[in-house]
Amino acid sequence: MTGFGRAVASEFVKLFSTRMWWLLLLILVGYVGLAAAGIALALTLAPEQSGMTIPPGALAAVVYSVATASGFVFPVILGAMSVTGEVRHRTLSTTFLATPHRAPVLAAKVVVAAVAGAGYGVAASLATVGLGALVLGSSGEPTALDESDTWAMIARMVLAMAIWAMLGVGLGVLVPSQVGSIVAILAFTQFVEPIVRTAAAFVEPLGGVAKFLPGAAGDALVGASFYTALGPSAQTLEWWQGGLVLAGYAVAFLVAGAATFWRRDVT
Amino acid sequence: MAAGETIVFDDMSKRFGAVHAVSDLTFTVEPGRVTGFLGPNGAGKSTSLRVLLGLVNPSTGTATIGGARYATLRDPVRRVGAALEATFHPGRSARAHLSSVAVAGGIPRARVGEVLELVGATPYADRRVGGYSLGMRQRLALATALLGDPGVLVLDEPINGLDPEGIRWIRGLLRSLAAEGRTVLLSSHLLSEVQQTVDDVVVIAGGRLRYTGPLAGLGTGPVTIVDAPDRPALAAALQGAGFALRVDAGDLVVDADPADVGRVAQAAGVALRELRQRSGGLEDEFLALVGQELPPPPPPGSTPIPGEAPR
Ligand SMILES: Nc1ncnc2c1ncn2[C@@H]1O[C@H](COP(=O)(O)OP(=O)(O)OP(=O)(O)O)[C@@H](O)[C@H]1O
Ligand SMILES: [Mg+2]
Repeated sequence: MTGFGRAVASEFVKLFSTRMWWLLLLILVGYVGLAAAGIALALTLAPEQSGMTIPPGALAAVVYSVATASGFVFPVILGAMSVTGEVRHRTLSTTFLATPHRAPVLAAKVVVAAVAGAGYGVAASLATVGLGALVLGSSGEPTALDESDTWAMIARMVLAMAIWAMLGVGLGVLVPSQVGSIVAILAFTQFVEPIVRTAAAFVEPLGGVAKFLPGAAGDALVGASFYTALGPSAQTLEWWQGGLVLAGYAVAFLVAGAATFWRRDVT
Repeated sequence: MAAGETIVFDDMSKRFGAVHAVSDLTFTVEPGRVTGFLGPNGAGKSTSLRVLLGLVNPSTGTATIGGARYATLRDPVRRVGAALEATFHPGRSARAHLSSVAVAGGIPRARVGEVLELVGATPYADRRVGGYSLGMRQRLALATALLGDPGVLVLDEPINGLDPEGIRWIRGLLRSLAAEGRTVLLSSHLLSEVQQTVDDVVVIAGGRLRYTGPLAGLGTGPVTIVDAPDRPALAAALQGAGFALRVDAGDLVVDADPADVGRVAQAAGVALRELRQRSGGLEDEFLALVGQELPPPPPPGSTPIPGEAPR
């Protein structure tokens, strides 16, 4: 095996030898599964009260995409922890002693995060599609599971979760403090961006900027979410543009972190 | 087993902002010997070892292993085994920790069980490290260093936290590793802790080199404490053999090797009650080198303050 292959294998051993990965996975699956079922119920039983204007035929997509719309923070946290956990527990010395070139170590973390993020994407999609389709089907709504568009969207959700996990590694190396990075993730994703995006749906000039925010780019990549359902005025990118913007954030964070924290003395 | 290699610090300095952690450090560590890297807290030992291992960038100068910087070694885990602070992810077992290093270092996984056995960590190898004592973590750190069967061992305070049996064991282990031709460099802030183990010492204080060379070159050599029921006869025999004698805190102290003292006593037909070696001038000389004096003895008649640990 090459040095890089070994570094990747070692990162997999590290990821799977603590409880973090399955704890996060369990919460993710429970959270998005229940949320998808709840939204499906709300939209089928009392659509006029939900305040959303769902285009006909898009109901299933909105329900299924809860996997990423609500679940994307989980791969971000997992990716960030692959760096911040090492900082917190002072294990970077051990890592760099075994693999003295640091850039391959970071690249290995990115690869492992992408695979784990994709796995999270598959699990979260299973939960939302499974429970969502159950509710939709029993209410007599179309589940859209026979449409290739639905499966293409699920594939994009898996891709989105993989990119989110890589972005998380970048965030971790940019904000190496474990508490700091988690606070930053939660504050930005649960507070700052939702407010800006909600405001942008009503204030025209903001929309031009808001569509480039990471969450908006992620939603654009997937192609459906509450925000896109909030109203036709919400501007979005094409799905591939959204994917590129999201990946751009990941690359920018990784490059900035690699040039700063990742090069520093480990004492 | 990889061959022992020479460690060379060449005029190495490290500054952290305004702090001069290490200044102009030059010394060599030879294979086949155990070298003690000694100095008080904050002397710059850990910083120097981290520079050697490529974790800290030196401000000037170099530190090399077999002529190469650590970062340029092809199979570092097989050539150099290092144990720095014994810090691990608390949620990971010892076995998983070692597996992650083995995989990264290209070491067969079977070796993990071997090193666990070697350091006596097998009984708790599958428990999470979070529950380990300091001594258990030190053993795991040592197991990590031994994973690649390396020719060079770099250990930062490996004895700290070990129980008496563990201390004796690690001393024997380090001696046997050096006897196989490996390079063994270990740090400590106590000379007495490593005195029986090391061949050479490097003493630093305030980031500067104070002494480098064989242990014997430090201080005045061994002294022997001896006593006999018939002390005057013993003293006469020793003086007759040309040994310098003095009485220190009630002990009869001889500037000679215990074997020689015993031989003289036997030749004179004096039965001994006590015969042992004392570190003698070494510890005093070490403390003088690092600029620390022993605390003065308490004034006569003073009593410890109740509730305070007696000094
Ligand atoms: N990351 C850092 N930033 C600033 N100063 C540092 C850093 N690391 C070490 N130092 C300083 O460098 C000096 C040497 O520290 P070092 O840890 O190398 O000493 P040491 O000999 O290992 O001490 P000890 O026996 O206590 O472990 C100290 O003054 C310390 O405060
Ligand atoms: Mg130290």
